Amino acid sequence: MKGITSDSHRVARTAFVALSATGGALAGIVWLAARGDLDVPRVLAPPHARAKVACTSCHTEGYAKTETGAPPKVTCAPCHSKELHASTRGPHARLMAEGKLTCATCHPAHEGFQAIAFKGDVAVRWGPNAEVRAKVNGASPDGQTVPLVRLSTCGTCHSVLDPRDPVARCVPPVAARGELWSRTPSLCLDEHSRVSERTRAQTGVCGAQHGDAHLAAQELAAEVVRTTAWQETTKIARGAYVPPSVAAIFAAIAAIVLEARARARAKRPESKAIALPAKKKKLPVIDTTTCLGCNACVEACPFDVLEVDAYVAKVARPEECCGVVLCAQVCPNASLTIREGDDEEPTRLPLADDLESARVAGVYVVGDLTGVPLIKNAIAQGDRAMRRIEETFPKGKARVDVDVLVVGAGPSGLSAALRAKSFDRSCIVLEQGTVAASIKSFPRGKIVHDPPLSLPVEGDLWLAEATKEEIVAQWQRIVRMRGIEVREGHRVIAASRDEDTGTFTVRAEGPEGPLTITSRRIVLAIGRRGTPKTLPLTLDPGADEKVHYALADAASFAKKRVIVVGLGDTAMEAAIAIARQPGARVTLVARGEGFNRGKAKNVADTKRAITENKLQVRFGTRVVAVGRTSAKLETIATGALETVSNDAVLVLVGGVPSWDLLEKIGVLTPEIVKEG
Amino acid sequence: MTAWPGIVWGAAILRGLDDRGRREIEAAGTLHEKRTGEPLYADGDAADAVYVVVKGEIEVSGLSRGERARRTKRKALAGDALGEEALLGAHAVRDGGASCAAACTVAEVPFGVLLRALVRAGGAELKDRTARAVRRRLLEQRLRTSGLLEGLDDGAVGTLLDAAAFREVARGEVIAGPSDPHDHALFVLEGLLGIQESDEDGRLSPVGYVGRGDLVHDPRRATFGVTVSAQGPSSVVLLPKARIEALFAEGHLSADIAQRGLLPEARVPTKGTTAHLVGDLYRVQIARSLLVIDQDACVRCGHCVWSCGNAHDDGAPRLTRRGDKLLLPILDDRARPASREAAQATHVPLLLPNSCQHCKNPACLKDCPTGAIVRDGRGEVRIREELCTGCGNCARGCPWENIQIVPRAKSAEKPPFPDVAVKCDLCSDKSHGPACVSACPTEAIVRIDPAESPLVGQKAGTIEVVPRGRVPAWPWMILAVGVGLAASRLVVSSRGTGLLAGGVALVALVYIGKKRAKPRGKARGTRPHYVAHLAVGTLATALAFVHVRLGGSSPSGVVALVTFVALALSGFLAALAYVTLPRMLSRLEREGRLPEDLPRIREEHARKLFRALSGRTELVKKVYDKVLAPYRASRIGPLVLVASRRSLGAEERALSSRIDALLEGRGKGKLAGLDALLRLVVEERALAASVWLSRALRGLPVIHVATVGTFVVALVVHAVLALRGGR
Repeated sequence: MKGITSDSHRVARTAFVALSATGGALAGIVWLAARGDLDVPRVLAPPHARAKVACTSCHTEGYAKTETGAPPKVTCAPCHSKELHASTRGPHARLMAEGKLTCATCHPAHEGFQAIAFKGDVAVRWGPNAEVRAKVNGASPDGQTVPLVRLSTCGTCHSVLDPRDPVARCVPPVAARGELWSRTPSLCLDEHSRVSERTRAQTGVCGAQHGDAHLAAQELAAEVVRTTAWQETTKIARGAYVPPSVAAIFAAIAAIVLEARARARAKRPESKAIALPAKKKKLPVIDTTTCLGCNACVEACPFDVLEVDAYVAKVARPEECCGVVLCAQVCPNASLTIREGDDEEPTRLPLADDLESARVAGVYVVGDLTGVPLIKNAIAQGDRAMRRIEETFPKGKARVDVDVLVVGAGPSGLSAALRAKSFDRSCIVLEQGTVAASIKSFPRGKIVHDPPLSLPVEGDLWLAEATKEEIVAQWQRIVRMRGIEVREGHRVIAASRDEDTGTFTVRAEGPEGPLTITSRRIVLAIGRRGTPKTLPLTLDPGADEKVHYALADAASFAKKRVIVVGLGDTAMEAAIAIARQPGARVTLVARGEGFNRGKAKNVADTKRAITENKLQVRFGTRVVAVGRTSAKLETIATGALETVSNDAVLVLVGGVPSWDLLEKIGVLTPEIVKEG
Repeated sequence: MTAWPGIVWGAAILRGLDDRGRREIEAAGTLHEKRTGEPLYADGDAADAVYVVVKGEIEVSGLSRGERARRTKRKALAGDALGEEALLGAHAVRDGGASCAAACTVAEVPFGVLLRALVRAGGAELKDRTARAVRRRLLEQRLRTSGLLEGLDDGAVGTLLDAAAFREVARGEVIAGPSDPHDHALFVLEGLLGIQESDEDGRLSPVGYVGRGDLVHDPRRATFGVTVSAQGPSSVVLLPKARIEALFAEGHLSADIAQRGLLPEARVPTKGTTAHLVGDLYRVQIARSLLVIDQDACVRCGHCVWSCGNAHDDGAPRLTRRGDKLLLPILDDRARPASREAAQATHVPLLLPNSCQHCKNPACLKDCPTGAIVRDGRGEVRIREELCTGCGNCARGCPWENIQIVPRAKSAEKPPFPDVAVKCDLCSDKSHGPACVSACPTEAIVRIDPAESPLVGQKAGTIEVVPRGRVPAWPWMILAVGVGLAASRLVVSSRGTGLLAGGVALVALVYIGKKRAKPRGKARGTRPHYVAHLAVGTLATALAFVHVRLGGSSPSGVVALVTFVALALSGFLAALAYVTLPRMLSRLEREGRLPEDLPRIREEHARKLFRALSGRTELVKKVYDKVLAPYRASRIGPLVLVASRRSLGAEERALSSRIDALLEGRGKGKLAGLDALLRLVVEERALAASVWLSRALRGLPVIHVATVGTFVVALVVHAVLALRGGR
């Protein structure tokens, strides 16, 4: 649909990308959760962790509701005796008694909890999930643990950096300079450590921590604090970057998939291929009682077969009808139907449905020769024939030069050769002229149109609305790039089939003399151009150079007096192209009386050029003789002769198909040739 | 079998119609019941239908020449037809009013269907005769209004009218070429003709326009010397020059009149007015309701197109953002009134997208075989889907491709015709007004009546009434940051700020709902929502910042934080792109195009370039080699072009002066074709820049939306875990 643009797709595509990203995030989170990294409990200090202390042993019930950013209320009482651990400092003890200071104020059980433990001659400075070891010089108070308190904790009440504050003596020199003070432990480690008879009497863990050895441990710990850094708790958010990353990757993949799909869709328009010649002559039939006169069929027909008159469509040029029934497809109310005539297509070759000759097995006929028009169809046919050849290619080996021999390097021949290449079949293309000679013969700058409704191009040959020069250049490039062997200037004169082996022997004449090639299959893509028709002209010596049978370059006819013989599309297009050249004077010479064939556009252009005095037309006239600077015209009705001055004659009256070659190969019977 | 009373078919113009014709007319036409005194149509109304009186009496009144008061011209009784001027085609207007003299029943017969039925039934002759009479009347009227018949007696007028030949011309049709003999004058009955001069290469450039009531005539010339072509379907009268000269000679026509229609100076749009800026003047003149997009503000989101499809049952958008662009010099309406006179005219790049403009003379209406296309009293053109066959004649007839053929919306019964023609219906059956307009987040798209906001023919800098799109309002966003920080003072807890930030972030999602939901109820633009979205997003960012400072770190929190940073950053960048990139992009565009068009256009350019290069002189090729080829090859070139803030024209001039400096005046006369090459390479560079700018404009919002999905998941997980207590 024409109105559908990226604007209208965009919402769905954005939603797709967003959903993919969301899916990615979900997947990442699920992965995190599965690893148990998503909802990890808060880290605990190693002694608590070792003792497997549960949240509820410290936090009284309902603690979750009290979280307001202030320290949660905790109780250490089940394990630690409050009495024993009262502060030795009066103000602290008072605050504790008032309940304004708790154990957890100075000793947070989670990230902030650090201590130094002595094991053998090693001091282990630990925090949750982290520890560092240092060698102890001298006697080690083995088994002692000294808890550390952050200066920042003291800082909630004290001015830590103020020298008048009692805390000042606990501040290590590095912190006194104002650096790192939140991560520096206080050096006053004697908060609870007055050793008494009572504590000496304790046994077990408590006794061990409250003996004389503990005093020594504090001394040493102060030393360790000075030499080791605060232990940062690491790896809390392990894997937290995974969900966003997965989401980003998913989104990127979604975007790439969408882009690739859009590109693939833009490249290949879908429609039904019409690559087979019609068996019977087809013609549109219009029901005048229902026809809306809407012009849909007129627009659809690439050959101007139809026109609308008095608001009803009619078949104006039945002879141009190609049987490609685009008109019937677009008719809104089925007023136009296609009737298959009784007449066989007059010049139809006896072909099977897969383009194989019905008379000679192994010979395939493609392109204009089948009676199906349009370059696009020719390309599709070449492709189709080669696919068929590949499907039915005989197994086993045969002594041949090539697998497939293609005759003719036009659109269908090249298309077949390209496909053969893709199937890895050896293939040679024999061409009497040059690559795409039929297209080269178009007038310079002619735009080769796509037909109004797009037929698919199944082959690899590039075809868009482009000038013929561009198409030829592009095709030549394709031939070179893909390494297709095209032997130009080779004219096939005969081909015969060995009935035992089913192989062909083809004889051709080339610039270096005769050539014989054997092959398993033959693709005939020789078109209908054949050799251009000539006129029975009387040529003066030296005048033959000025008679042309194709228009290669209109610009070369500037400032010349040119006679164009014929009134078909080719002749009219050539005449108009030459008439546009500065100083060129063109006369169209036609045997008939008036414009009775050709595309409407060409007829209209020609008529306009005539009214604009850019070209002349002489009906009912023929050229009988050509001299060096003149030409002799004869009015057919009266036989009157007239000599006009002239620089060039273009004979564009069609060509003679190579019927005799077809007959020699056997795809045509002599009778058909006669009729044709 | 027909349902209409037989008396209708007895009217002279309908006599002899076959059954099919009657059926079609009944399907497309209407029977009106009118009370006494009720008007049927008024002077100057668009004439789309012929009427036949079934019962009662209708009075046709109007002003005749020389009279000041209205006079009843005729009375139509049962069986009479009236309003035959409709046969002139879609640009026909009523030359008199009609109203019911007594309670009456009238059959309305759309002219398009009537014409077809008549011609098919062999009534071409009758139709022509009727049309001829109507035309002659119209011609006389027009000649009089333009003052050409002043002082002529009835006999002289008669001879002039007798000698007149009428010609209907289609858009683009050439009426006279430079070498055509100027043996007749052209009088424009209806429509618009362009006068063009051709240079040596045969390229045409416009020198003027002539419209209704203008005469193309130059006594001194033997040939036209210029090309006169129809800008839109027009009705032209060929008056023999000899006849007009004779009138001059006899002194009937004043010299003043003789000077009026001279060629080629006729109605030359003076430089500095807007008329010569408009490539397709006819389009602007003929439009009643023109959709325009201010390209400086349009963020190319395509939301207008999407919402159009969304507003219609079949889902097909009636609008594509392709089309002509015009640079309109206007007064800066944001300048203070005092400085207005002093203010320089600013140029607003306006895109005329492919969307129905409800023409005064709709080609589609004329082309419809079943009369499915009609106009209402306000001139709004409508397609009656029940009559549409989907044949596509209207779509082909519309010169601006504003009609599309799409599959019908799915309904219970199988429709007789699978396809239907659709075009902009102004969303007239919906209370929210045009969906595209209300959907635009920057108010860049708007429907205007060119007649009311005079776009054309004005002096530069005098136009005030044009839409100006608006970019996001920064004050709202700054305010949001302030509010966020203030709120953080009030709510200091980690949980409180978390809940607030998360809640506010979710509120921003409302915008998606508003944008994508089917519009309902009264029209409210999307822009307030867009601005609110930006403000709320900013507020959420501020709150989230506070929350992160207060809270600890947990894996789910980090996930939420990372996704939120991506969300906020992409949102900020997208908003920034929306403000800055459209201007850059519109400087580089000559027409409206979609991102998917760009690769194809680039390919075409490359091909054109090689064609422009072939056959040029050695000097041109050398210049290409030395200057233009490196210019093309430069990878940072597009960036430089964007950064330089030059327009395409300025860039061409800059490049051209570089070449001039290199040549130092040598090689004059050997540089043919260089300008075309220059234009192409500059355009190529601009295209490359456009590709990147459109990618940024279109891609950033997509990233933003993708992060939204990610963030919502992360937020929910984080909130659940945090509230459960595990942090």
